[in-house]
Amino acid sequence: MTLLTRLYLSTILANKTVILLAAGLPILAYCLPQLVPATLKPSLLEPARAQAGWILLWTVCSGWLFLSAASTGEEWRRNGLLVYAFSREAARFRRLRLIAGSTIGFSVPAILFVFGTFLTSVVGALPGDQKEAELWIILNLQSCFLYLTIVIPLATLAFAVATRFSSTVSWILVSCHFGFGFFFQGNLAPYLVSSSPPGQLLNLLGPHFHLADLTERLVFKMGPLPFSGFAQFLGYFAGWGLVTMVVAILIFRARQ
Amino acid sequence: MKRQDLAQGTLIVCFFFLGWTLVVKNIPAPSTATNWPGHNPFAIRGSGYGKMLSRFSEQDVDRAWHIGLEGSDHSDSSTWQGRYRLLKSTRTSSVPLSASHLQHIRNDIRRKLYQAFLLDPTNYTTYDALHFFLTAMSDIPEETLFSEIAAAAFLVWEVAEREEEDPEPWLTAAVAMMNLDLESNSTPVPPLSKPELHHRIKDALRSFDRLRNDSLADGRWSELSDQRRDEIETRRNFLGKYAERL
Repeated sequence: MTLLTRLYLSTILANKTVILLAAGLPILAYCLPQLVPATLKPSLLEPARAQAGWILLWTVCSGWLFLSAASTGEEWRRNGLLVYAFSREAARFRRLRLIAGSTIGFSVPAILFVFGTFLTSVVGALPGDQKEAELWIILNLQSCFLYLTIVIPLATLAFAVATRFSSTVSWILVSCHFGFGFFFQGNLAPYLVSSSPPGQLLNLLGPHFHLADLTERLVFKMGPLPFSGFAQFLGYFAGWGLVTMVVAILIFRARQ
Repeated sequence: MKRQDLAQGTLIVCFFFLGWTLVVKNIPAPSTATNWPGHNPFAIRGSGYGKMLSRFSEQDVDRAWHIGLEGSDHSDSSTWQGRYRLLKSTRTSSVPLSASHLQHIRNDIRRKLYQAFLLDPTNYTTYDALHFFLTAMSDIPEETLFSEIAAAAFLVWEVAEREEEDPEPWLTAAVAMMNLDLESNSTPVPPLSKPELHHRIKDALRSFDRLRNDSLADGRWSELSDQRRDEIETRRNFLGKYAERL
């Protein structure tokens, strides 16, 4: 573990927000379905738990992770820690190694949240039928992997942008980028495809994060993605992750 | 947070809003229930939370309608809160709304009604509000009006048909078929013949009775509030009377 990984992890542990979130997520996922009008239809409750868990993960946890990464980036640059870490590394690939070290740090809370959501979804809403239960677990695992491939590079981007600009700017930029890909791109796509060349280009190059939202498959028990399709999705998001990481390395600045 | 950060952050947010209003607000709203975009973030539409939000939006839609098209709120004026709400939303300007403004409000209400309807197509109130709006208040040309009404009614039927637990969706399905039955007098080519529609209405009411008896037997029915039970019973009686005359 590098210096930055250890430092990030001990900072978030000392702040305790991560523990609050990881514990609050399953509790909320059990409480929120009480709002669902399920008196006449009790079978609505279980899918609503899984749905609440995944919604909270995508929105609240990602939001916190980006914020945490951004504020860490700004703080480390301000107190000169990045310069210190930079000087400790050997001459080759210093930026890359610093970025990689902090990325490992950001992936730990992300994995923790995903694991909490996975458990909530599997324990709270496992279908009774044996065959369906297997499919449910596979689908949840697919969702977990897609989440991690999208969110971890974005957290690194938030960190890198904050070392050059500021945490506020970085958080707003990364959240808007994520929200655009997750909510708007899906709605826009049908119109963009049939529109002018700039629109088609936006549809081609814009991030289609909405593809990773498998909640529909969960709630309506549609079964997991076929393996080849899942591999394609994962490849697409890994590609996006790679681009994001390259941008992050280019933007990253250690000096005060 | 420094002043510069705030300025930069505000600029970025403004930029996104500008983009949003320029691009998305200029996309025409889909015309019928079936060609609404399939993108459904977090599967809200059709899920339990969709049902919840659909109920929440009942009042929102109602208010937009009354204030926008009728000029006043229909608040209950027996309490001071109701009186104040009425006071707040009563129009005092004597200058009428321009035609283009009214058109804009109509489109807005239509979009809201469709959104509420698609959150849970089997919600009796939002379906009925949509149907009433399309037939009575909107300015859709005669040629396309019936296909739009039929698309909504068939969507209700399609969703309710899968229901084997909750009796309520079957009432919405029955009222949807009743509406089609009433409207099909004025269209040259009805999508379903009269006997088929009558058969569907009776079928839906039978399914409702069966599921209600099930829920009575296992105690779910008694957990509903008195008000909700009365509401459902009133609708059932109304539809029962309609079905008897067929």
